Parts: sequence; C-alpha cells; structure tokens
Amino acid sequence: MNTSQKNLHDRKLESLASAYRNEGYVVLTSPTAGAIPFDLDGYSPDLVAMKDDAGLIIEVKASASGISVDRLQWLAQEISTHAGWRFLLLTLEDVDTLNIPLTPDGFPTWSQLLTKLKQVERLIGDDALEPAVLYLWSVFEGAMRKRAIEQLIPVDRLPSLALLNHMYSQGEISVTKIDFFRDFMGKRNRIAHGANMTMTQHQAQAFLDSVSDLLSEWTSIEARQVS
Amino acid sequence: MEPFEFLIPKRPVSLQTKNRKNLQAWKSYVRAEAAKAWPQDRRPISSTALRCSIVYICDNSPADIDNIIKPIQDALVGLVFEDDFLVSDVDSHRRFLSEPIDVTFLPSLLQGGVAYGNECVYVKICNAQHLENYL
Repeated sequence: MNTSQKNLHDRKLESLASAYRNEGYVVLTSPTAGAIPFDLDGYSPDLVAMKDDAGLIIEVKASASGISVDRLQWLAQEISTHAGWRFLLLTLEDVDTLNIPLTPDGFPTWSQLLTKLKQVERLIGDDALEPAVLYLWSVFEGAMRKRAIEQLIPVDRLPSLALLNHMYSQGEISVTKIDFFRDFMGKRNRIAHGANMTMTQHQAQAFLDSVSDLLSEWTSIEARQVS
Repeated sequence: MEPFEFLIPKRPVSLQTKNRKNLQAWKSYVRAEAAKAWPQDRRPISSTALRCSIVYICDNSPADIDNIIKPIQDALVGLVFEDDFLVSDVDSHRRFLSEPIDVTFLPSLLQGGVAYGNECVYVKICNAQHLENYL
C-alpha cells in the first residue's frame, strides 16, 4: 500500500468507526487477535464493531486486486458460526458503501426479484428495450449481491465487474454463461453512460431468459438447503 | 516426453466452489481446450513423473492462484495423463494484465496469451526434473 492509499485507508477506517459509534456500537480499530471474542486462527481485522451480543468484523482493503476471496470466505464462514456476527470486506473501490445493504434482508426477496423479472418481460413486450435492460441489470446485480451474502462469499460490496468475476470463479455462474453475462454488462453500461445502443427484442429476451434461469437455479438450491 | 502445452482462454474457477455442477462444467471446458492441442492418436502418459506448470494471466480481481490448480489437473486425467498421481511437481504463477509482462523469452503460446489481453491460463506438462534444478 503506498502513502496515498494508506491515507485513504486510514480515513475510511476513521469514517467507518465514527459511523458505527453513532449507531451505538463499541468500536475497536486495528484490534489484536485476542480482542475478538472468538478464535479466528490469529486473524486480526481492521475494525470490530460490537453491540449487545452481536458484532461486525471488518477488513478494509485498498483495492479489489490481490484479495484472496477463498481465504476471506473461510473467515466469513467461521464468523457466521457465531450468532449475530458478520464479516464485511470493504475496499476503497467499493460502490456506494452506505447504500449497499449489509444483510440479504436489505435486498428484495427472491420472490420479489422474480416479480421484477415479469415487469422486465412487459417492458420488452412493449419494445422499451433500453429501460428493460437497465432494470434487468439492477435485478441481476441485486441478485448477485444477495446471493454472495447468503453464500458467505465476501464480494457483495465490490464493483460490478469484480463482483461478476468472483461469482463466476466461486462457481455461482457457469463457464458456459460468463461471456454472455459480460456482454450483457457491456450493453447495460453503454446505455447507462448515454451511448447509442442497437439491440433487438430477441437479444433483450435472451438476457432476460438467462437471468431467469440463474435466479431459478439459485432459488431452487436455496430451497433444497433450507429443507 | 515431448512437452505438452495449451491455453485456456478464460478466467479460471476455484476448487473452493460449493457448486459441483459449475465446477464440472469448468473441468469439461478445460478438457475440451486441452483436447484441441493433444494429438488424437497419442495415448495418455502413464509411466513417468510429471511437472505441471500453470501461468494465470489475470485482471485486477483474480481468483486464488493456489485454488485453480486442482480442477485443471483433474480435467487432464485420462487425456494427457492416466492418473494425476503422476504429477509430482507443480508450479503456478500469476501475472497481472495491468502490469508490464516481459514476454521476450516466453513460449510463443504464452506470448499469445498475454497479447490476447483477456484473462487466460497457460498450462504446460513436461517431465519432472531433478530436485536440485528447482532449488
């Protein structure tokens, strides 16, 4: 981490600590491993925020590069075994930290997401393709972040491309679909940035079908895990 | 044996995934890419200690280098070697696309992978060497 990144990192830690203190948490910055109420194999995070019997263990990275998602996933799984405790990975590149929910409950339910897909279908039927693609992307991105939190893959706050890539590398998206979703993202970005985009109803429908299939897969896995 | 090399033109999948179906899809994809380069009339290697070298050309949010090795090795069983027990030596290397990569003395296939400009994995299988050559 260079000096500039270190300064940004320190400022991020200070602002997080202040935000959690204002929410009534007891906050420890750069605690020793012994200050955490359970053993995490010597791991010491950047920040711990505790309230009642619950808490947040927070790791702040300068960037999404060089993150060992597998190692952090192990930590997330270990921490989740302690009731009320959660693990958060933040990077200085995170999207809109304050507005990304901390828990799956902060996102629409799976059922609500499936309802939104029906609204996308109506937009495509009305040939409102650009609004359809923008809305479909928001459903897709929300579903990925929700799924990441549920599966304890600590990438739920990363920028969209890093999120998509890690969800693929962690096996949540198939190798047969990843290029298709990247293409979808590219088209969505062109529209979001105000560029011209030529698209057919058939293409928009194909994006919708792929997102629908993925959500069906995730919700059916979810149902099996619950039962 | 004649060294065997091939390029996987995709970002790799981690061994750690809980989704067995997508991990299997990844292995099938790797096997298909290897099969394009493996001579049709050549039988899998069965009788020598092998070295597996992997170079992952990655973007700024890479998969873990240590967890991408096993699925790639698994995908080559029955095609390139009869059993992955034959692989006695493994080395894996990660290089970022966003940083300069000196390609001067790299194998031409790997040079092509770097020039490709997208994430990819170069794989080389050859005879294991004497230990002192590595140390």
